Amino acid sequence: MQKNIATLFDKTRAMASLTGDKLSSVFNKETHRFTITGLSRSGKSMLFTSLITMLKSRSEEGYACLPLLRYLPPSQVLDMRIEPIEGYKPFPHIQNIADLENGQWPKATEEAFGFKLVVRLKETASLKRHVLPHSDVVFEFIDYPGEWVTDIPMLSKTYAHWSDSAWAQLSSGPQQYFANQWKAFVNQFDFEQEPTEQRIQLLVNAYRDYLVDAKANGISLLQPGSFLLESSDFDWQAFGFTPLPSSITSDVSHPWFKIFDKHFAKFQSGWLTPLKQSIFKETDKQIILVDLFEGLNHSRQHLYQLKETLSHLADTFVYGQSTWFSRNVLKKEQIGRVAFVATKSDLVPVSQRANLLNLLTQITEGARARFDGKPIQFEHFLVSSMQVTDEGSNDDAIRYKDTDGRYVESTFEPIPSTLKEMEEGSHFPVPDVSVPSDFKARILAGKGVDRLLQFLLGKGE
Amino acid sequence: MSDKPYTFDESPEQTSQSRLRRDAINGDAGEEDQHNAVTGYGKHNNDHESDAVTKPQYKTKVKTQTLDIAQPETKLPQQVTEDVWEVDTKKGGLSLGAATLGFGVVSLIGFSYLKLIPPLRQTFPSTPSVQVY
Repeated sequence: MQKNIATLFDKTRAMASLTGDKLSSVFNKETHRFTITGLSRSGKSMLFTSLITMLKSRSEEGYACLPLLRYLPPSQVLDMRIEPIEGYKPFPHIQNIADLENGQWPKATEEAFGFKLVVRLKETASLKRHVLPHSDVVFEFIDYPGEWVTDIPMLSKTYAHWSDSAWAQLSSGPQQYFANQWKAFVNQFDFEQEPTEQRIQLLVNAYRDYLVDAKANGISLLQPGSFLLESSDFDWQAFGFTPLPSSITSDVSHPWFKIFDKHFAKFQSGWLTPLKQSIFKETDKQIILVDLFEGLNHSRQHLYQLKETLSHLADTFVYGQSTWFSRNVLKKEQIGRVAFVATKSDLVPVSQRANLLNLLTQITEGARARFDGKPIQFEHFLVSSMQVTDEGSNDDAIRYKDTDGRYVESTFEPIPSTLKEMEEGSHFPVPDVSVPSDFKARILAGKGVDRLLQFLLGKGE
Repeated sequence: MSDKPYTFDESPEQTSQSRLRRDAINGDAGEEDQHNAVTGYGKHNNDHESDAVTKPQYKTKVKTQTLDIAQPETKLPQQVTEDVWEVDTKKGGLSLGAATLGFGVVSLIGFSYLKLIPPLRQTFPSTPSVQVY
């Protein structure tokens, strides 16, 4: 009899435990979906690599990094694991660390990667921990090439509209200095000839040469960026298109207009629409990475262009506040919290970082205008994924090891705090820093990531 | 193209412009190059020599010198065995209390809908009776 009671009791306890686990997964799972939007070279891959390294080192090895992140106290972290997201290639974190060990920066993102970071927290409430022993905090990240994101605004345009605006853009701003060859090529091109496959490829290749050259010289507003990557799942060799002079785009019966209009439609339906649906899934939090150094490295015009590009990008996303009902029943999310992040902030002396933050605030003005009348929480952050520089001999200097292996000191004149202050005809060359051998310690010494996470997780102060 | 975070020019083949600017950063450009480095875009890529729109010339606002000391090593942060972080967690979704309340309300509605409350009342009298065998 006693044996039967003991067996019954064990079974009941096992069932209660199982039920607890199931209940836990239903009621105590907290999922944060992040869209990290950044143009090419904005430092997305390095930020992901640092974030994973920091969180793992903090929870598994007890390193006192991310001091301002109070949300995930290490004593409550039972374990942390990285899981793939269905439909995405896993983020190459191990490969990126191996690259750093070999003195190379992580490779550029040329395809979409997705991963979940699941942090299992111990339940501390006295009653609840018996029923729901733990809770999972799930971070979903998707990394994708910056070249793709600049193409998304093309979805809302017709070919003629896009062509005219692209032609106007490459005739103004800093890109005009790199578009001369392309425009000369178009001027001597005989559009009276039928658009054969060979002639289309000639034109498309000439336009792509311009895109490559402009990108190498810091131009951020380049469409279609997808033509720059072989990994893009769109056959630009066969279905390429270019902007054309308005003398052609104004004539809808022109054979070149007709063929490019057809290719443009294929680009939208066969590439951009599925891309937007699969990659840019709706989330509730967004990090917009901004590389101010690309602009500072070149000119004030580059900074103005960066501002314009960010403004266009903000049009792509849906901003607003999700309710419990819309999120869980309608399965529709809106972005209600946005962090504007200037990466690589350790590349300027501490004395200049206030100016850098002011400059970031001005660069995001156009994007923030999209939030008008909506309850969007936003904040600006300076972040260094890895502290690659050391203090200099004075407040305006930094020290670092350059790619030739020399330890050098760079002294900065004041960085402009507004676009207007950026002196015409001047630039701030970006330090050409090599990967430090003590990269792990420097990742853990990275600044601003804790404040950023705290804000995004709803604990901003 | 690269997403490398700490380089300013990641084109596979460096242009003469980027080399010049890098020389300016490194501070070891020759006399002619020094001048061009200060003016930034002073020397054009051959491809662009016949450009109709001339690129502007920029002067650098950063001066760099080589140091004769080694880079100091950064130490790993302290490892802490005891928790020094303030507990500050709040779970999202339904709390246990809200779930229990919801379950109770749903049960009540369900039982009312299925007209099970009167039979239950009849089955379980309001005064418990104790039977001794």
